[in-house]
Amino acid sequence: MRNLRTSSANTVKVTDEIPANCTYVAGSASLAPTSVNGKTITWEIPTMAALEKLTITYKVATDKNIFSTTLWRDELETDFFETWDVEILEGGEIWQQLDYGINNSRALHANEAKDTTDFAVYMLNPAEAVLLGNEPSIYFYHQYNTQNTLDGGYLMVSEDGQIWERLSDSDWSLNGPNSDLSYSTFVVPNLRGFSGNSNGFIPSVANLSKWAGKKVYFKFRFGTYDNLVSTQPGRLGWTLDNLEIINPIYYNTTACVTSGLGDNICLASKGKGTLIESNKIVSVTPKDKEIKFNVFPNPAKAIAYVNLFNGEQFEVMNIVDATGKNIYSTVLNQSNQQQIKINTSQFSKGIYFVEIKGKQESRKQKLVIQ
Amino acid sequence: MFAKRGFGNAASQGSSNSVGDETEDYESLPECINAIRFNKKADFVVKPGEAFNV
Repeated sequence: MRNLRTSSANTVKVTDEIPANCTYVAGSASLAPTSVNGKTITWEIPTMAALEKLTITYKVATDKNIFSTTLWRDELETDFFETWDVEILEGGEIWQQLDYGINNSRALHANEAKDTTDFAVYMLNPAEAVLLGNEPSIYFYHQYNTQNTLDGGYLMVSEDGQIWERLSDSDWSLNGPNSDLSYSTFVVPNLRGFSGNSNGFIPSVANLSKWAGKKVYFKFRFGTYDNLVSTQPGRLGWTLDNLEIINPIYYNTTACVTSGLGDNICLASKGKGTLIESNKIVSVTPKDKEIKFNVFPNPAKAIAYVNLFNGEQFEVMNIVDATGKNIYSTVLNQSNQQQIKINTSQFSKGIYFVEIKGKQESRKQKLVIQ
Repeated sequence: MFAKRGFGNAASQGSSNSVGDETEDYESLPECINAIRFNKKADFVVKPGEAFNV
């Protein structure tokens, strides 16, 4: 709070509301409040000198029974190649799973190269949660340290894994894009994302309500331009950790300042306020409705087998190559469990995707031919 | 021109240890404002049952 005047202000009064289900922690304020009355905390300041700056801090205790609800989570600890894939659009960098995460856990990392690069990491299958309930949102932790605007990254969302949509700034509830991203880097106009320095891991939350009732895929794209990088200390690039889909709950209230000189202004914290941490418990989806299959050996040479479970869900199996071309297709019968033998000796070496289509959904797995 | 973008006389970067605490300032000189200005900040995330800072 600042008195931006050439003279002093008298009878300054600051009020703030304690959020519902919260209480003021007695004695925690940096300046003792004049009163704490119900949900209102008040400070009365007799005078503020010309240009005087005053900061008041205090603590609010919360209810342990109120929290955001987790619908899906991927802490990126298991081998990410089973559920994520990478794509290189330009340059020689690739997303990697490294011990760069929170508490040295595994995380996905994009390096800021002294070069022009453009590369992404995306989900092979949608996050296993239908977006339902209050404001279904993606919640993740990330750290970035890049050259402003020219080097940075952004998030995309898809309902089919083919067409990817960007989020607008207004979709973000907490720590949304902090920067424009250069047209030189991504060749996308009016692109917003993350660049500069986050100074460590920060949480970000974006509202996915426009996909309510659906499942979605996520894709993170990172790019760099020219041979310059961030000059700030710390790890260069963009690191992602602890992805979740949640129904968030926030604490935020409005504070007001009045004075004897007629000041009367009110405002709340930026964005949605303070997110209440999620419970990290994912309700179990009924297994009989999930498409389950495995591919072995993988990598394969002349022959690969695909084991299918829960056959009543299956309709078609396709194998597509890295360019998306369908090179093998077979109609699946409806028996409950089956094994399909594929002669892969005619396949050229490389990466393929085995896609099983069911009545309701489809799932992909990677198959490597050596 | 800079004032329009929020980089006026009293704009500041905030703590180098956190983001989101930058102070925007849309006026040119304090004398031209002739009023009290303030902003409110709180922790980004709180664990249920724990206290957070405002």
